Amino acid sequence: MTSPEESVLDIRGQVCPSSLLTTLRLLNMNAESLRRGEMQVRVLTDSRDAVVTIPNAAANMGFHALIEKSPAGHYEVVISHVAN
Amino acid sequence: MSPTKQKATSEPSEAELIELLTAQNAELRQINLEAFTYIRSKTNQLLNTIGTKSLRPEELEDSSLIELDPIGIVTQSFQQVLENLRVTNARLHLAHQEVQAVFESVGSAVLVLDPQMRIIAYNKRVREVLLNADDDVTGIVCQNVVCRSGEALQNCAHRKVLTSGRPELAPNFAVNGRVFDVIGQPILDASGQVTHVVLAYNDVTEHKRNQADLLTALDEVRRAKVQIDTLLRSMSDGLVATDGKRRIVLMNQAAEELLGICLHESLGVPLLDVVQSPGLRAHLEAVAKGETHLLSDIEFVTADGHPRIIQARTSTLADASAADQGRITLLHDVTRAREIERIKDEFLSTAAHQLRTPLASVIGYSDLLIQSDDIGVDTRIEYLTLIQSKAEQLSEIVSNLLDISRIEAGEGVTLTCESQSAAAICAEVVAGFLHGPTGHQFEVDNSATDVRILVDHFAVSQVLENLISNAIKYSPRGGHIFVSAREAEGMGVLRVRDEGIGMTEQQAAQAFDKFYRADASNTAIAGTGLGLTIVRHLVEAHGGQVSIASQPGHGTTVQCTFPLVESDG
Repeated sequence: MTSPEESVLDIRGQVCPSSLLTTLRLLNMNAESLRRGEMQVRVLTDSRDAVVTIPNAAANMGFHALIEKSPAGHYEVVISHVAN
Repeated sequence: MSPTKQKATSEPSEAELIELLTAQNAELRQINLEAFTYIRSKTNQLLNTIGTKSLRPEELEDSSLIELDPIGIVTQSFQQVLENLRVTNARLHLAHQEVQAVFESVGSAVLVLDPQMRIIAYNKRVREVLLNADDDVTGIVCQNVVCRSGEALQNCAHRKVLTSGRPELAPNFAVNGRVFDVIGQPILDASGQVTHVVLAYNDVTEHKRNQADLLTALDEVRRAKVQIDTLLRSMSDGLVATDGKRRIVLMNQAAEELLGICLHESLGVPLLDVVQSPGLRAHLEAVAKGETHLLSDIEFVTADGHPRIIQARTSTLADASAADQGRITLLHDVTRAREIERIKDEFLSTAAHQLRTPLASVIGYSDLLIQSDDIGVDTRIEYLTLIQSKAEQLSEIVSNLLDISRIEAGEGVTLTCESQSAAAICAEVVAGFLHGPTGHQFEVDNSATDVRILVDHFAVSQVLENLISNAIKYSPRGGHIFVSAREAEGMGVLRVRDEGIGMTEQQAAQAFDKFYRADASNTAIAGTGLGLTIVRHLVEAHGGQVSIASQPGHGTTVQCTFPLVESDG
């Protein structure tokens, strides 16, 4: 299996809910590719609220969200399809 | 909407028009404000629904609100959420069906209980093996329909799971004649509290029965092994078992002693590597070449230097499943048997000679009597006396042979014991020898006339006759023979002493052996080699003992003890 293409969304400086809305818009646009496992979305955010709301919203939509803390100080939320 | 009313009759003035437009503009602004307020409130409602905060006006301007289209985004996201819910529900439904199928088809009886022990769900196996009724038991406390005994509650899996919050086992739950191992599994809520307990009843009745059978079989095997070990230990024959590659797998103590090796050290070692005896090696090699059931006499020298003759017999452990299985070699000590055979051969030779000599005389003299007409009366009586004497000799030999064969056959000696005077028996027996042809002088010690022994008269007479007969045979003509009867150490002691050729220590030690004659080469002395053997049997049958004291050239003393008659006082 090839590695999925990664789309990076840098919303550092934005706070919720706009950061969530921006992320949702990207997820809506790429829902099919995400579900097929062809791509994943990496969201760069420095909002602590977003680190909670984005994974919850992604999970409700059926995606898997992994939160990584970057050495640079921000968070990276990696959203991908749920492995069956 | 109609914000203004135009008059048909007159055109409005500019001022009026400005005022009108201003009013309309204000109205439109109000409508716009209300619209944005509505959109913002609905957007916030949607955002709150998906779990985030409301939009703050300073975060998103009204113009950006339209441009960003949060309602569109959230709506579209909701479509995704709903699709995900639909897929998840489909999966859940499938999973539920799978669980239900497993629940019903699993071999175990499965109960789902709430913390108050009420039955929430159960499968059909529960009805088959645990319940006695067909009624629905949902909602009923399980101990009212399943356990029904306080003893079972002591080992309740439900209680254990509630206490520990972990899976628990309650073994050996007995109900309806069957035995179950009950596995309790908790179902936890998000806070870790037990919401339900799943009890799986695994029927282990057969397993327990098999386990018991297995233990019984194991016990039997152990007992059989002990029996075999005891048997092997008790065997006087040596036994060595080897596997298909001729390696030692078993050896008993007798074999260890004979071969001078230890099973502990030689287990698994090829037998030929540890056997030193050339004879046994030759035997084993012959077996290896294919000779089956081979029997060999092998000369051994034991660790203490005694020569032994061992008969080795090797058999193949034939098995239908394998052509070449192990072998068993039995080492039977035949030293004594071979010695007996040798003595018997000598005896037969001696007996034949002894039977032939008197028979030749009987035949010779009877021929003379038949064929000669001119034999005088004196000569005839002399011949007949000789024939009678030789016939008596033959009778003695035959009588001794019959006695010993009866004793050997295990018939033993039948005694009729009565109080007898030892001195009287001595005198009576000696009287029979007083006028014999050898001219022996007898001295009977009469100092113990009061010794009374509890014996069979005939048997004791036979003992004394044998002893006196031996004393006559093995002492010079005219020699003295001393016979005495005394009491010593609570026994009556009869003693016969001669002044004859005597015996070595070794000869004396073997004197009681069957067919043994101190000097078998001297066939001039008549005898079967059975006399002393018979004496020993007769004395021992009375509970007495017989002993010999002798030195070469200094005569022989044979002493027999017999039980005394218990005195009344």
